[in-house]
Amino acid sequence: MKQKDPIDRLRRHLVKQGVSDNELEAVAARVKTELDAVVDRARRAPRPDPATVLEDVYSTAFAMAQRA
Amino acid sequence: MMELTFIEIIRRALDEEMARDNSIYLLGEDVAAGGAFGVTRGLVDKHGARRVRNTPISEAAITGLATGAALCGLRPVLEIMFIDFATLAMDCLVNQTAKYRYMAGGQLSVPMVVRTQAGAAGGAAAQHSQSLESWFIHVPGLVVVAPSSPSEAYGLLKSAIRLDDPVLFIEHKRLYAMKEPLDEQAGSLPIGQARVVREGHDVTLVAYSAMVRTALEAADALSRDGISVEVIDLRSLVPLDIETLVRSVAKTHRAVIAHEAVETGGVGAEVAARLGVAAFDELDAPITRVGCPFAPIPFAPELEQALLPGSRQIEQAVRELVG
Repeated sequence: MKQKDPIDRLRRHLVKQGVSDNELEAVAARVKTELDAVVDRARRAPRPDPATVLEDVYSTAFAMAQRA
Repeated sequence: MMELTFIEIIRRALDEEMARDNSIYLLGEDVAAGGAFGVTRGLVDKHGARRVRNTPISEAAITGLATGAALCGLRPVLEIMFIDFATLAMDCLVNQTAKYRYMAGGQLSVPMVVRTQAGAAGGAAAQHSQSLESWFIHVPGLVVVAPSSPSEAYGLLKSAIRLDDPVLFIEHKRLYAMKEPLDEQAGSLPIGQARVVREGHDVTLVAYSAMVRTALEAADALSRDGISVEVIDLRSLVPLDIETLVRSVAKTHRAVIAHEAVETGGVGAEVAARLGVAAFDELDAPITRVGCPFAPIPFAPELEQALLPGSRQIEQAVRELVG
């Protein structure tokens, strides 16, 4: 199963193409930092206001036309 | 004023919009040659093969491609040859196209128009004759427009192209040969405003697409018997202009909704439910519907004729309400 994991396969492919383990690990670390920051930001964000539940279904101009 | 067919007027609206805005482009099966009905014929000569693109026969791929292009800032107008084949594009339309703005918290827009052709005429049979609009009005995020004449199609298509939302634009094949003069001053028409096509005071008759013509025939026949019918063209099914209908029913106190789609789960049911609440105190009779019986559209012309609701069925429904 692990043999067919596309992420592992891509990694093996890149290594074969001459990308170093160090480079790959640096990318992985950078992505992890980025994702940790995003998750942290989402967790700390205020819960959404129920009054906004119908927003962003249609473009603003059109939503206004619908109400009119 | 110049007389143009429905097909010619759609072509003209596309041509003018493409000349106005470089981000508009056409794609679909054989659109460079004009598509199955010749609507886009000649546009490739004027606007080039980059902007009038033939695609493989894959509605899912065409719709996915257009959705991606729209997300990246273009304004694609794609053609689904028959609304019956929109079934193949449903996953993209319902789960992607209609949802992007919402799921991106309003940061993304999908300004695209899906032009498609629907309805029964000339023995196109069960898989090429359907009226499937009610499937699409059930999806928040989609706009659904169904013009009733060439001049209406001209103005509504221009608005659809300029809208920052995905629009399903339904052209009835029975209207394609219909001719109307095009006012040189004609511009875009508002989406979301129904139109009172004929004023009357006894019954409100609501229709859209090709059924508006049939409704007008019925209104003519009924007027000879002294029954005054107000005919309203919905123009768009999402949004549904219920206010215009309520104003009319406040005058007539009776309403009939006519469409070619099967009655079950149709636009008529939606209109009746909304009117039943919004105009309850005004109504002197139940709201009734005229639509196709619950059966596929047959191939044989005599069977097709027997199944399709026509002006006779509408007349009968109106007479029952005023009788």
